[in-house]
Amino acid sequence: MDDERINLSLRVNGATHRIEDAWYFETLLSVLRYRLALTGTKQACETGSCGACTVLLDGRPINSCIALAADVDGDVTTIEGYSPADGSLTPLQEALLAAGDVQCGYCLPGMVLAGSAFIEEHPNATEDEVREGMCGNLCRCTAYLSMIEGIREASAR
Amino acid sequence: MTVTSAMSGRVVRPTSLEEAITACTQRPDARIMGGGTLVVAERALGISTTPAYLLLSGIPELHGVTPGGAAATGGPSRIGAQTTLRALLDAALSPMLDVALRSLATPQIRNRATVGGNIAERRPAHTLAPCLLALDASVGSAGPDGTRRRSIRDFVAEGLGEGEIIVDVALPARGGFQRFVRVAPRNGPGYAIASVAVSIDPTGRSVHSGIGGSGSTALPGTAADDFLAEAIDWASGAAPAGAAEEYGRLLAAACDPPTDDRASAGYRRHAIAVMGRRLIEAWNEEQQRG
Ligand SMILES: Cc1cc2nc3c(=O)[nH]c(=O)nc-3n(C[C@H](O)[C@H](O)[C@H](O)COP(=O)(O)OP(=O)(O)OC[C@H]3O[C@@H](n4cnc5c(N)ncnc54)[C@H](O)[C@@H]3O)c2cc1C
Ligand code: FES
Ligand code: FES
Repeated sequence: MDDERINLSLRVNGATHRIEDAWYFETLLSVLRYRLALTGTKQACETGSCGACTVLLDGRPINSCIALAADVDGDVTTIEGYSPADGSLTPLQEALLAAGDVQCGYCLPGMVLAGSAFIEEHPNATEDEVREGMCGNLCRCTAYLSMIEGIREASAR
Repeated sequence: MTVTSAMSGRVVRPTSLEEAITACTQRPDARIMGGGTLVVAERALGISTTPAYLLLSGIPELHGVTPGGAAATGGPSRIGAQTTLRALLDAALSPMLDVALRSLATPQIRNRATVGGNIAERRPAHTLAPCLLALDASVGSAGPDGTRRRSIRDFVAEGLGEGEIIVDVALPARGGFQRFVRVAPRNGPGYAIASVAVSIDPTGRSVHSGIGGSGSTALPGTAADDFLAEAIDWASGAAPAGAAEEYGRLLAAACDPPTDDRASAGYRRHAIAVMGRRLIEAWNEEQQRG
């Protein structure tokens, strides 16, 4: 039983965390939510399909639910680390808010992080580019039109 | 960058290929992990409860793309097994791979999923193997009995031996027409129901194709390719009337498609015939436009 537990160290939002006694099969999502209390990263499908658990690894979006925590090597950014510490909003968050119509918001942390990486690489994105680039994020409330509009708008700023 | 310190009997992270092969023999119950997008998802679904993982992420020689030279004259491009699908997309090696990779899963998954992990189990629905067949690729691997390099055709037919690890995929320089098409439940990315990849290289005067989703592995369209390479008048760059139709028919004849929750065998066979015909029609049109 004992050897099913491992110790690992993870760099999250600029700080190094030593995790004791994690399960050897534990996912990054599980460590973030249940060991580091970073519950902004959402847990939904747990099979890589929906993007709710999206975090950035060295600036690129990944699904934390299908990343083995023991195999994460690099800087992880969660929504807590992305959002300005003073409670203000980033231009992308402002654009999403202005586009309106977000409903339950469960998909939003993942949308924001995936969107932030997308607009970095696609200044002045077209709607088609947003649709393709954001295809890894599902919104169960189907607030897609406002998400697409917000991200497109933010890419032009 | 920090390196996670996760060494234990159940998570093994070798730093060289040699170490990895030794680890495979010492811990045969460990599941090899490339990016883990399939392995970890299967654990979440309860399909796999592997007692240990052998991570390939720490082996530098498995990472990265080395582009080859120009068509006809250049050497092959080398794609390390641990190359992410995103890095392969960024390498822009082939217009066919560009389309296929953009149809594969999502940006998040492509940032993590590897080339080795995509082809290792030879699953028929996986996107890359049909393209690699059409690009006449070869697969390098290493195991307890040493290293070997096989054509992708042999690889999809035989698979990996016990404790064998994919090292790289090599793509010979190929010019001319290269296309990947598929039918899928939606236009967005995800597994295809059936797919066809074709490459027609006028310099080497060769045709190669791969078929996805229509057999127990990806299949080479050998009979169709041989037929077309014979039928084409390479000097003028034209195929005779009816050649496209016949090409599609021969591709479909090479399939042994399943009937499953996504489509019937008959649907798949028909789709392969239509996609094969249209691809050759598209090539013909391209030739005529010059
Ligand atoms: C939501 C979702 C959508 C997906 N959509 C697609 C899709 O459209 N098309 C598609 O093709 N796939 C798809 N996949 C499956 C998977 O993500 C990809 O096939 C991916 O390329 C697997 O690579 P990986 O490195 O993550 O593999 P892993 O999960 O690490 O490994 C997969 C298998 O390969 C073995 N393996 C890995 N590397 C090696 C190696 N170097 N040598 C020997 N064995 C090795 C492992 O032991 C394991 O059996 C999808 C997955 C998810 C979760
Ligand atoms: S919870 Fe990770 S993709 Fe859905
Ligand atoms: S707003 Fe509810 S899931 Fe997107």
